[in-house]
Amino acid sequence: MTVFNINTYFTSPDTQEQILDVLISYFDNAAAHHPKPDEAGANTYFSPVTVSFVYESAWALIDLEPTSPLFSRHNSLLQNLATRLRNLPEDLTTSPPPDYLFFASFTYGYRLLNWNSGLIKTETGRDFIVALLQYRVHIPQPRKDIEVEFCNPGNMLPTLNWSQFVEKAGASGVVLSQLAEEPPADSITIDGAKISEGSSREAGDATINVGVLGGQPSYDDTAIHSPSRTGIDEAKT
Amino acid sequence: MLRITRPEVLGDERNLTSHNMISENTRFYEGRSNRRNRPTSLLFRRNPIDSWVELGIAWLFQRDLDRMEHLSRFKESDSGSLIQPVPIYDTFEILVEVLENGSSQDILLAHYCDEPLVQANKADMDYMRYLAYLLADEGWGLDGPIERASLEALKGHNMLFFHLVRGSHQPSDTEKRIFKTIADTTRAMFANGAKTMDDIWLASMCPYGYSDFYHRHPGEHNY
Repeated sequence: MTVFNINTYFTSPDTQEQILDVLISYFDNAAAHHPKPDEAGANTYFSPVTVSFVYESAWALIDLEPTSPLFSRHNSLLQNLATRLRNLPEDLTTSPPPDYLFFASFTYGYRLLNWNSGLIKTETGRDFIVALLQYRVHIPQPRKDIEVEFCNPGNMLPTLNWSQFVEKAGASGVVLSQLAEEPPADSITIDGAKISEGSSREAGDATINVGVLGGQPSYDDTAIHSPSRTGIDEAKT
Repeated sequence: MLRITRPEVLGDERNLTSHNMISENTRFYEGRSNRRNRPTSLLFRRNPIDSWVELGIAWLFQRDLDRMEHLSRFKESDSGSLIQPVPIYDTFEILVEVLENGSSQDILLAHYCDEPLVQANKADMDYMRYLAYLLADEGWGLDGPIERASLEALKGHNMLFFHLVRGSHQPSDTEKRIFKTIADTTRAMFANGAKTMDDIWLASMCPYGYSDFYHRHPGEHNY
């Protein structure tokens, strides 16, 4: 029995719009999703099927052209994700951080980065990657069960590796300096973080220096958010 | 009455009117033994208004029962009352043959028959599982626990994989229909919040993946 290929249909604007619609709805719901540990592998948002969905969606949208109306919608999605990843609860002891959203976004960003998608090369795309890197500074140890589900889904799905992501981000010019592959559980502050143009990098590269100081973790985002966008802008020019 | 109208496809209107023995309005509940004895009862009943059509349908019922017996994994449920089914085996075989080897127009028409075939026994768990096994026997379908799947999940599964039965040549209109089914299934799974997933969908790929579209980028196979 021969399987015919409907690639051309998957890259049609109508199809991509449908996929983007589903993806946006998914991430909207994912932002407020805090799965119970015993749900692993048992619901639509917490199983290898979810990872596959995120991959396939990235695959279908990877070649969106900047002239496409969907391109700006996709940019809005990335912007929205970056904002949500930075908008952490003030008291993490009473409100859980959006770890699920982080890993879903990480999976999506990883694929776009790995496939060298133009979607990641925009200012918004790079800021999205920065937001993912920053999240691990704020939340050094996100939920392990979600990490396993998204990063080691098994079956035919590939393993995702955080340090490789950091490496790929760096290769594409987005570097969060002093971000350890296994961030320390405490004593991290991002106060005073700054972005500078990497001396050995091509124009457009941005480096975010994160100060590691003593004391309690600080979640003052203002020091890093606006410079991050500005820094990239400046570096690009 | 089962009515299929596709004027944009056919250029005119054709109606398929089902026999009252299997039409939705005239079917009622029956017990397990009635279902098993239905073909024989019909073949040997003395009803003066019966024609060759009734005899033909009786044999179609028997064909389903025979096929069920040869599906080793298929087990009838313990449900006490069942809705009189629409026999599907021979229709299924013909549709698969057309989907794989038919002309462009016939393939397109066959795709429009998929839904009525799945919906014909939409409330019958046994027949929904039976159809899933028929698809699996043809090499289409998920290798999931059909026995534990819900009726809704099986309906979605059967609809999707029936559309995926295909040969090497397909008219472009069928691709739209296939993708619509794939997109609808994906939307139902992911766009409306997390929900408990039927085991049958717990394979490694989401519905998008069943269309083999990820070989688009050279050097990037399987993600």
